[in-house]
Amino acid sequence: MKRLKSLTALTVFLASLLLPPNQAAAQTAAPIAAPTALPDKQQKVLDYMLNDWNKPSRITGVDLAMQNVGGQYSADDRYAIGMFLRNNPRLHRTLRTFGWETAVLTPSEKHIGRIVSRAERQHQPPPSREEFAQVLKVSPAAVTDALKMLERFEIMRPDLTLKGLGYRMAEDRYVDWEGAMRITFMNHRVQVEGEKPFEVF
Amino acid sequence: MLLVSSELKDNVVTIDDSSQYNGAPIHLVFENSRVKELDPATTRVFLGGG
Repeated sequence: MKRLKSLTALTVFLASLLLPPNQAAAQTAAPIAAPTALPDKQQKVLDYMLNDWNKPSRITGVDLAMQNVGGQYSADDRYAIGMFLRNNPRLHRTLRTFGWETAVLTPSEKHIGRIVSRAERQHQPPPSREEFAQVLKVSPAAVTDALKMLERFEIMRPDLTLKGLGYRMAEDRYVDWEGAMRITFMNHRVQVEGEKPFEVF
Repeated sequence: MLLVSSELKDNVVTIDDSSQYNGAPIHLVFENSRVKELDPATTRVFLGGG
């Protein structure tokens, strides 16, 4: 009996040695897992997008998809769907080709990302919230909301050493994002009269 | 623009885009492939599709 217990212990020990490092760590401290499925309400939006992306040149984003699906959707819904897209690039070739960012940001957030990244490339200060608000025809508070969402998606980060806007791009890849197949901060919205609007690449 | 001058040439089509020069929003309305509205008015439009 004692010998059997020892054999069992040895087997468990050997099995833990054979596990990949990530899986071995999971035995001791369970990591916070990304959701494997969305609630029905958010899944409806995702289904709409995946169907849209199967049409030529289409890349309708979460914001417009929520609008087209109808019903009550919040910024939290957009964030949840956005994170799901980020964590599941195998969902659609569009995600792997153009990146999740372009599908989850609003036109205003893309505008801010485009202008701030260019300012950083040119070593120039970015426009102020008031200047963004004027160009985008929104309130400064709406610009602040857009910056907060860009921060939540880890695309921009606060930098209190920067006068004015107080935000910079979070990673170099968001500063130097332009190039073949990179449309991260680009937006082209089309509406044919009598039909729902869509976005193209 | 290819869509406007080909597949959607018989439609009223609204496009919201942005300037390649300074990133400012551009709003365009086409009717039968012709520009009907343009904001800002200084926007230059190059229609593709031959």
